[in-house]
Amino acid sequence: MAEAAHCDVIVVGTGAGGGILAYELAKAGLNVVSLEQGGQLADDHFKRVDPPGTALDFGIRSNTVWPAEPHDSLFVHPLFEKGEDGSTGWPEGGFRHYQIIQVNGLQNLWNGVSVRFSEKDFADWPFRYAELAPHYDAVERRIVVCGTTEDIPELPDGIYVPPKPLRPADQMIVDAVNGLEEPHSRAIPNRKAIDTRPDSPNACASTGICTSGCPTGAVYKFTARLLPEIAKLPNYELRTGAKVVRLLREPGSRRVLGVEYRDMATGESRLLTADKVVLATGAIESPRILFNSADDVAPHGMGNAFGQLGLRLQDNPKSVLSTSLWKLWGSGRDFDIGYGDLLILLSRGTLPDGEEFPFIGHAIHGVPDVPHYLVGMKRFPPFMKERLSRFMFHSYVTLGLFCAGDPNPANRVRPAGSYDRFGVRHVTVDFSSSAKADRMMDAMEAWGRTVLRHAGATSIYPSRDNSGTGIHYAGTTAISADPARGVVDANLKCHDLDNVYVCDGGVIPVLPDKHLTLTIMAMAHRLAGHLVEKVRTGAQTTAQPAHA
Amino acid sequence: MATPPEPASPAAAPLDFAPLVAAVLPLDHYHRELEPLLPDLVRIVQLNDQLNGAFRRIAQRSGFAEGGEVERKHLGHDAEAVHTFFEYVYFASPAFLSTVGEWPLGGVRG
Repeated sequence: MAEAAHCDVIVVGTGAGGGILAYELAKAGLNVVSLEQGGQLADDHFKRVDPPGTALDFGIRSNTVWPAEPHDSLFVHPLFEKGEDGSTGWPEGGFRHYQIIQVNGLQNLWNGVSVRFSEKDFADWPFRYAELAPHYDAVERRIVVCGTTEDIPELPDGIYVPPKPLRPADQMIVDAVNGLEEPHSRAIPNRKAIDTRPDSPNACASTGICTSGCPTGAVYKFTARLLPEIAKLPNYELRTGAKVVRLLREPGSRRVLGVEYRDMATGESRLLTADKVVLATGAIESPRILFNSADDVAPHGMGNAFGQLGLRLQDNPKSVLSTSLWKLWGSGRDFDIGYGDLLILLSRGTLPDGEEFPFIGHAIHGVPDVPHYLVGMKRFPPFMKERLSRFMFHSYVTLGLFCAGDPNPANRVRPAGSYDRFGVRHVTVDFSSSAKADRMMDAMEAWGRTVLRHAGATSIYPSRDNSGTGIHYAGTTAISADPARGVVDANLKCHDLDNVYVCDGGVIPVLPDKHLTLTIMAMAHRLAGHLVEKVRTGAQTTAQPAHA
Repeated sequence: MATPPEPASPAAAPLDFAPLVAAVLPLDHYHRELEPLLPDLVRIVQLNDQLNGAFRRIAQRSGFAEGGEVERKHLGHDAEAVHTFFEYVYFASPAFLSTVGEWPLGGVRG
């Protein structure tokens, strides 16, 4: 198929927002081009090339290190971009910005947690939960989310297929949480974009972990579920190896003509024009593109007429605790291990000044074929280590607890002094954790310890982080009805541009405790409807057919 | 976060890792259990940045390429990484995982 020179909508990025947008727009008959900087992994990448666990080379890759930090193991993966083609060049120290430069983006290693924001979480938005509710419905049906309805106001119910059954370790955690007798503390089946239907061709194969990639396509991602339906449509094109470097303004107007992008293979600069452009590249890369689009009209970057671009970068601070539950010592496994984290935990913490805050998390229990537990056995002689390892093998549980981000304008993305190999300017991240975030992590850890002790914990291995490993980046292109307080309006259109939109975590103005991915996808579904309506009502028509 | 490993020198002379790994393995507690996995160990030592560099340094310290024998003292500051690696592989091996009912891997774990 010939490459389009012009289309109705350019969607930059193929992750959470970009995938839904491309699908909905293409199915509606619009001429759509997705531009993706990376390539496309083989369909069997996580089965043959890089399977989860120890199936290949005992799980050891080129960047595996010894001794390992178990709670960091999730972030040592070959797919994570480390400096060459990323947004920031990964300078030493500071904020750890994780990106995957491949079709699907971060959803290649996504854990799949799919929860709705609550009414309270929309307090800083220009619309309420009810506006997004039908889009949550539509996306949940489209991507298939497992879970249960629980009637918890802080965690609105959705449309679910049945989750996998809880395991003995999960029941111990449920009993421990219920035993606290705190009305605000709950342990319920997790809500994840995993196809658990046994008769589905993408049925979950129960690897016990989702964050190393899914070998069956059970975890939703664009290439596994939506791209196959649109890839051969005459009105859709996925252009990979295409790094968008800037938007190009139509002279004398508030519109852009399209985008300039680099061919990653040749370095050649190319132009693609469109009626509308959507940036869906993440809360750090989308501001980078906008900053690099600076021109005489917008010397500080497009989308930045009010100086709000890049401000208030947020991520979820987290506390992580691992232990062995002694009640499971000596036990075998005659049950389905499932997808590892079968529980969501909800509760509230209290800060020293009495302020309460909500937090959410999950309880993870998998098959430890990757023996991270050895870190806790350093002091034992080999013969004891072997006996203990067998005895405790099926007893390990990890709690990962997350609280809300901190919308501090000093935490920001801004143009850097460095450039990538194509001469495209990086952005740099200014980010520091606040004393309040530290106190929230203290409170979450204390609660987690209480729960684990009630469940039969032995030694607890804690860690915490607020330097980017939540990988829930938000805030930098915030939605706001007031252009002086955000970058995009209620329809995700940049305030100072007529045909440029942003649809990724950056639009979320205040990051709540909850995982943001389902909300990004619901926003994408909503935006798609808006764009379809605009194109169909002829606000701007294409000048010529997009494809030969 | 674990410290990124010191990469192998790009100017390093070609090194036959197979006899080197075979010479180092007996210095480890798990050597008997790991001997059947020697080809896998060699492949992994070559592909992993940290281990590649560690084994090159061990070869240098011991004069292995010139016929020197590898002794425990030649592991130097790479000893922790090497022993931790061998231990890891043992506990990720089919031999160990069979004893806890988790072998073979892959497929449905339901």
